Amino acid sequence: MKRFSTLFFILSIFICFNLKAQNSIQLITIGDISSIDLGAIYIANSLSGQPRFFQLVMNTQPIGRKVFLKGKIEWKENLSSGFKEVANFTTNIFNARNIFSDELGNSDIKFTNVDGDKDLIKQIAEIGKPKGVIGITVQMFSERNEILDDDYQELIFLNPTSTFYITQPNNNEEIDIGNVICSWTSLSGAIGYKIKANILENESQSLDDALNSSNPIIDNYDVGNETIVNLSKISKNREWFDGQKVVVVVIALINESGVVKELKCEPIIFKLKSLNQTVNIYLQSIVNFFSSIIPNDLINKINSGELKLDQIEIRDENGSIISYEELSQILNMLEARKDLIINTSFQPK
Amino acid sequence: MKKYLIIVFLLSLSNFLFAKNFPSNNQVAIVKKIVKEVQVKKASDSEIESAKIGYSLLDGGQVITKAKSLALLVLTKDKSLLTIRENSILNIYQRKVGNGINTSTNIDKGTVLFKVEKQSADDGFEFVTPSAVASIRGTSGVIDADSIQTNIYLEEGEIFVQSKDDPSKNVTINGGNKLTIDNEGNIEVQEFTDEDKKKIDDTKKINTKKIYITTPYGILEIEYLIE
Repeated sequence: MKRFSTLFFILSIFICFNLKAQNSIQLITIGDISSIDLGAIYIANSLSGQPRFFQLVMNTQPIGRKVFLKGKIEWKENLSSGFKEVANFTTNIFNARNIFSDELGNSDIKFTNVDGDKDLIKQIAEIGKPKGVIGITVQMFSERNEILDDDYQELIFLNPTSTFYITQPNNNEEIDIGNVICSWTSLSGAIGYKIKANILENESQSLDDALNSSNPIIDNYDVGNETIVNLSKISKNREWFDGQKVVVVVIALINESGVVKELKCEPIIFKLKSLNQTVNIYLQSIVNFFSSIIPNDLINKINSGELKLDQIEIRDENGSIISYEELSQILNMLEARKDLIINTSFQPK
Repeated sequence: MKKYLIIVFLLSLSNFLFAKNFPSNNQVAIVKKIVKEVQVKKASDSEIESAKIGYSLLDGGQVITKAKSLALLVLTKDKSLLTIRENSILNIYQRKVGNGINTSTNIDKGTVLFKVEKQSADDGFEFVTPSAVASIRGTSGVIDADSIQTNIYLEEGEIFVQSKDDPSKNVTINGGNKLTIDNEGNIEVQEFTDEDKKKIDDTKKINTKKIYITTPYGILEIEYLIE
């Protein structure tokens, strides 16, 4: 009897597996999902007024088998919130084939049942613009109500800035230059992440300007699927130094119907500090250049790390900010061409 | 009577139109730019004072540039330019001779970049150094002089150079050549070397840039020449 039960169990699994293998449904998102009116996700017996935003690919044995569909549409406003069911539907029985979203309710395929959360639908409709994540589940049933296959897709709209964010460092945090751990929230649907970072050259520069300025320190470094990385360890285009302010952004790569789109989180800024108090290279170059005129107590303050780079402001005669790098280049040039120097002076406060 | 008045009027007009543009008050040059420490004398018998932009030099005026300093003069007569580099002493004279104006620039020592506008047939322009007298009509280059010898780097035009003590020792050189003449009248002419070209380029640097590095304890300042 025990042997018979085991055999029956294995046979059942095999039959189910075989049923699944021979009958499949795939939900494939197509087109520009950003043009979808979220309010229309509530399927008012038709999606015909909306652009085609998914295709259902049905393979059955035999071909064109009588099937019906059940579907569920969920939505969450951001990645940290939970899904809420927007609507569910059931269709009549029809011959399985490949159909587009706008054929649902607009062909021989009719809805026999539609249920929706009216308050949620109203909320979504009021948002208007696509936002958040939409989850669509479809199940394909035989006419005898056996589930043949199902599929699930998430549509992520390119505006969930509040849901995809850097969790560390904190904005304006001071971080040890040798151990800058950067982590961020996982973005559902992301196939990978890239990191970009650059120095904030001055306080009047915006974070975006800093990121978009030339020669970024970290230039779209591919971190794969990781959501945490030590920025101190990854390869950089140039060195960074303690006292500098660094702007960093994480870019999620999202595959939408075969097209990889980029979604940036809000950039954050952090400040580098040195735990071992090595003298910043820029400060050192200033000390070296002006050694004959800088008072000893100021040299000591620099060498001891008491004077930080961010306490120094460099401007030209027009009041324009000069970056540490520019100054370093100028000082190096003048070291080689001392004949160009007209005057150096120090005016104590 | 009416005819007489017309003649007087026409004579006055022709005098106004065709008279040499000799500056009023014998103003010869104006200080156009100063870098660091420059001293001037308005005329031969004036006191030395610190130069200011817009300062007028008269006949016999003097410019003294200290270390790392320079002065840019514009000549009133024809807007010729003289850039007087550091550690230079220059005296400038201008006199009316016949129908023309003679401008003489004496370089006791130092380096002067010149861009002299083309002179009319009646006018004359010369540089006088301890070892040479160089006559030009419209040209540009650099003169570098001390008590022993004079180097002239001629970029454009033509220049006639003669020994100050023995005018029979003379030569005319064209642009692209360097001339060296000493107190004994020995003259050597050669084409520009790369070093000569660099010397000219460096002499042309008159613009400066200042950088202020403000710390909580004081302000560091650097001023340097740029292109």
